[in-house]
Amino acid sequence: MTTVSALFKTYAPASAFDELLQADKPKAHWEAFIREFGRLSPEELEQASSEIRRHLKENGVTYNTHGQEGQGRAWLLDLMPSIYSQDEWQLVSRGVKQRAQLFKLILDDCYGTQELIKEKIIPLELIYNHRGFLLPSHGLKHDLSFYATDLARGADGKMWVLNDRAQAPSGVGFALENRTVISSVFPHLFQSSQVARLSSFFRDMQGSFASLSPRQGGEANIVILSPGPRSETFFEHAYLGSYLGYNVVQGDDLTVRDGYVYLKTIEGLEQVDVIVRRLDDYNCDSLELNGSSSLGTPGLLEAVRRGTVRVANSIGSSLLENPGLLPFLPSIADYFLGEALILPSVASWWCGQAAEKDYVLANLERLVIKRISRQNKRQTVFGAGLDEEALAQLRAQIRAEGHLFVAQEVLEHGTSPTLDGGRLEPRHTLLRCFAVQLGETYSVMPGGLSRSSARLGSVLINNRAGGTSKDTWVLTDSPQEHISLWQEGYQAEDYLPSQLASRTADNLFWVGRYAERAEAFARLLRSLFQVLNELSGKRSSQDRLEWSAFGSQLEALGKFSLQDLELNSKAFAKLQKKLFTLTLAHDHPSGLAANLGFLFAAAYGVKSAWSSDSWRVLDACQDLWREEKTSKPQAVSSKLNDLISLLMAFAGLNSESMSQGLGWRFLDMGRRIERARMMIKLLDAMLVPVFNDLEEDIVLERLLSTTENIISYRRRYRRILTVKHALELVLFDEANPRAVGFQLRRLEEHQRQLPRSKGYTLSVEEKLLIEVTSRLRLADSLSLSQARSKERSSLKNLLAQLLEGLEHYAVVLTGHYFSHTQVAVQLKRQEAG
Amino acid sequence: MQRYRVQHLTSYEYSEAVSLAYNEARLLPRSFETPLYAQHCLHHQLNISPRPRDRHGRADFFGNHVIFFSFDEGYQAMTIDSTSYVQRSSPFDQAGVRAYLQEGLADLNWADVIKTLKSGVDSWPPVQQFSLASVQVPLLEEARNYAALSFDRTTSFIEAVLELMTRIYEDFSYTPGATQIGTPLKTIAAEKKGVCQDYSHFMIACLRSLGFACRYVSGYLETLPLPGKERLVGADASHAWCSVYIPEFGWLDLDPTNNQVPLEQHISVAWGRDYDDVTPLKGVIYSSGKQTLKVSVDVAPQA
Repeated sequence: MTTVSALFKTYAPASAFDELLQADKPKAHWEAFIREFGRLSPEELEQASSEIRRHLKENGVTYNTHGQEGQGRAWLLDLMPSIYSQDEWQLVSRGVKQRAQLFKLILDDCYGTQELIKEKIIPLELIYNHRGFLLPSHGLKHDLSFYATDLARGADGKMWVLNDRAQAPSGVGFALENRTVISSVFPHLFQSSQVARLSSFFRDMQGSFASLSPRQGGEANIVILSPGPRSETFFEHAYLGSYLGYNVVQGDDLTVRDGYVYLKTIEGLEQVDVIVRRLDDYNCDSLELNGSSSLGTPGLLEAVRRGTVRVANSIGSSLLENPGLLPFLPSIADYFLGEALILPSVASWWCGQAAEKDYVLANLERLVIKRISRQNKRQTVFGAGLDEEALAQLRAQIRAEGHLFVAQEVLEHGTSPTLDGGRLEPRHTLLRCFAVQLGETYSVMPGGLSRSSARLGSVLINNRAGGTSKDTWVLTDSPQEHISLWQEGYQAEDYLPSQLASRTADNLFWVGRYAERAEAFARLLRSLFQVLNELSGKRSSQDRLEWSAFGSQLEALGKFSLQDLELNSKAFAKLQKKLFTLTLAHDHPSGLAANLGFLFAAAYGVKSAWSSDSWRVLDACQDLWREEKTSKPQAVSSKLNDLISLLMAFAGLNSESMSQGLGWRFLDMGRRIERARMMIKLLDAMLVPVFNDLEEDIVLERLLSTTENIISYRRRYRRILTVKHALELVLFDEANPRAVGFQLRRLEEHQRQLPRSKGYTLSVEEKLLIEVTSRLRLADSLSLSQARSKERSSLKNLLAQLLEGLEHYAVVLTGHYFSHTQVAVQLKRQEAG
Repeated sequence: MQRYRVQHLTSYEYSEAVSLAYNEARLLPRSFETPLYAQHCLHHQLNISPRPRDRHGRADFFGNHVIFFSFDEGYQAMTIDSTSYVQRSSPFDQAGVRAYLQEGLADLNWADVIKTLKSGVDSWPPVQQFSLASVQVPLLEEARNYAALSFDRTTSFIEAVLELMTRIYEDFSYTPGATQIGTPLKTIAAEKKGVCQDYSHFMIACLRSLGFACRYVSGYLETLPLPGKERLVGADASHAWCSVYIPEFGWLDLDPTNNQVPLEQHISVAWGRDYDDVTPLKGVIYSSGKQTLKVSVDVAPQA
């Protein structure tokens, strides 16, 4: 049997330091891995690769780069982990801990008495010129609960710090997801290697956030404040939210009243104790900070100031993301701790000092240039990559405003093995380490997020540059016990926090509506394509009959006027084209494709509400419609068939595997409203006009089959096909899930369970619902089925009233529970004279 | 010594009801002393209508008085009546103060001022923070070149600074409506038109670009002067000027809009790096409609 052990034989790194090999022999801590991994056959390896891709895709692991919901770059994960020995890791762990402590001290000092400036350990300009130094935050209590640092292995074998992340470090969710995937794809390999588990770190994280709560007694209400689904790392916000059991909220889900922060929920305002911040601090409060941002919550800083809420990391901690601090760090460590740095920073020069500035100006083409404040994400410039003109421009900038610039040495990187195109290739790797504050000290994640460059020689390692991520293994001497408190994996619906945020309910409601609309739409289109396939296009009498039914059905779509469509092959082709567009074109604003897009966006907004099974189904719907356009009616029909099956599976999962709390009720209400609407429209288009007897049979049959009622009808009424009977089954029946009456009854049941204000009068939406249901219940199927001249006018009237009542109900319902607040604007400011 | 009753009325009308609002007022005058004058705020009252749901006072980073207030019920009009009784006293008049400064600071070289500022922080909060660029005051090349004309011809700090103020006063034309809050300093430097905050921001940019520490002061001017005194420009609204730091002396106020050294006719309310730090009234409101703002300031000398 062939194995992949040959991979290791051809691996030939050229750099002075490689993670795997030393003097052409694998290092001791890699031996067990190589032995186990080497036993795999090439087929198994390939299988594992595709398994990983599938896994990541199904879990919706993305890194958004286009600012669209869930449309980001797929996350890439290498089969080869980064492996560190226990000894090696101890140094890293101690170093990260020390750094986190140091940065916490710097944070407290800068927002306190500023001894570092008074003692001339750091220059004033470095802090006061930094965008992250937020004056309104001065004098407040500061927290560095969560800290990350990027390490790289130098060619000398030493670990060097390249960056410190102290605002809202991302990556921890990706690291956990990488671990989940790798350990499930290689369970045996993973278990035999004694890898330190990550779960205890997350338990520490939870403890760390909970300990911040200013409220005495009771469980802290903790939320994750996110910029929303368009953010680069929204996947991680949702992932952490469901893993740690926190609501994921956006700025306008929170509101400040009387100096307290509240979450807007379906049941009213719920006090928030701790905010895990994933939003840039500058954008957190449009009253005291960036007035042009609508991402935050006005009044938040005032609440922090009064001590009713804690924000982690505190507002103002982005001050620490300042590469200008690096050259001063050894002195700061000496001043605060009396210690030397365990992990050195890569050599850095702050250009606010004359000698440093001169050195940088003279060596610009060999250095990496950064600004002290992160102004935009692409702020790192490699001098070597600049032409003469750009270099001259940069020199002028540094000469004029040196204090805003920092230069760093380009690190000579070591290498580590990465699987690329079936070969093992040496690549540069960055390791992001994470630490959470635990009392007076920090707990460091045993592992981290490793990322490799896309090619050798490239030192630009980030998600945008298209590198690959790696699971990070820290080996231990002792076998690892599984901490059963946490299941490493994606959580199911029952992990939704108990309070239902208004936004979550809003999204769920719309998921219900879009899913149902897509399904009804797909059924209608499928039925239309079927007829189109059967119609010969010749003017036979059968065709003429079919044509009438077809026409009435088309009307239900509300997008065609049939008068000008002739029964001939030319008109056919035109019609067919129009239906194709409606079905497949992404740019058709009211087409099926657009509808699926809305469904996906709404579902992504409440990502943590879905089980992995539900998500897989939604993902498959997307895939189905992402593929290239087809122009064959048969192919479209089969696509529609697949879509309908998937949407039904999604509906089934919603009703069978979601806990039936308030969230589920809103989802189902959305569904019911939409189904009733679509059926009323269909009834209006098909049963209001009066046809001759032969035509009518076909119309009724089509109506029954499009609404999935044909079998029930046959069972109940045998072969008597009348409008009256059809109305009883499709309009009135409250026991038939495919009847309007049933939808209204379900809405009544849900409405009764919603939280309502006390009092003896009914709410507006309750009254509206009673009005709609009563209208239907009091109507009479016989008189509705009777026609005067060319239409059934009483049916027409009833349907119009039902539709209007239902739509009004939906508007009032959403207005009541989803609190669509007005837009916040700045108060006009007065000029001085 | 002069006592004033200052009434600063601000009213907003909204075409659509405001459902929720958060505001900050910096309207309460500070009490402090400089080598040239002393100011005491004897009494202050801030009446807000409708009555805010929540109201809280504090001091900001610069020591200014801030009042936070918020509403959570709908309203369509808001009035803020800030009334203060302030006492200003100075032993000098305009002619006397110039003579005093020119004599007392005759030996002070401006180069030494910069050198002292660069040598380190000796006060808290550090005065050096006022020599850095700020949101409204970028350190423009134009401002630097403009200022250099005054500083190149003399080594005396006080001579150069007073001359710079006079030049700005003469080169700028006082033109209400020519600028708005947020008009870039670059435009102001080029057009040389505007109101007191534009004069002040430009003068601050001039001094900071050379390395001096200079802050923005918001306050009031005597509206109706006593007989024999001149009525000053910018008295119908709140006023603004700047203040430069002189080591071992302290802060020296300079009003380029009136080419004066503020003494008894000026009343300081708050100071900061620029207008953004001391906006008299700012807020975030939840309302989709139009806002109509009316401001009136009355500074009445008390017998």
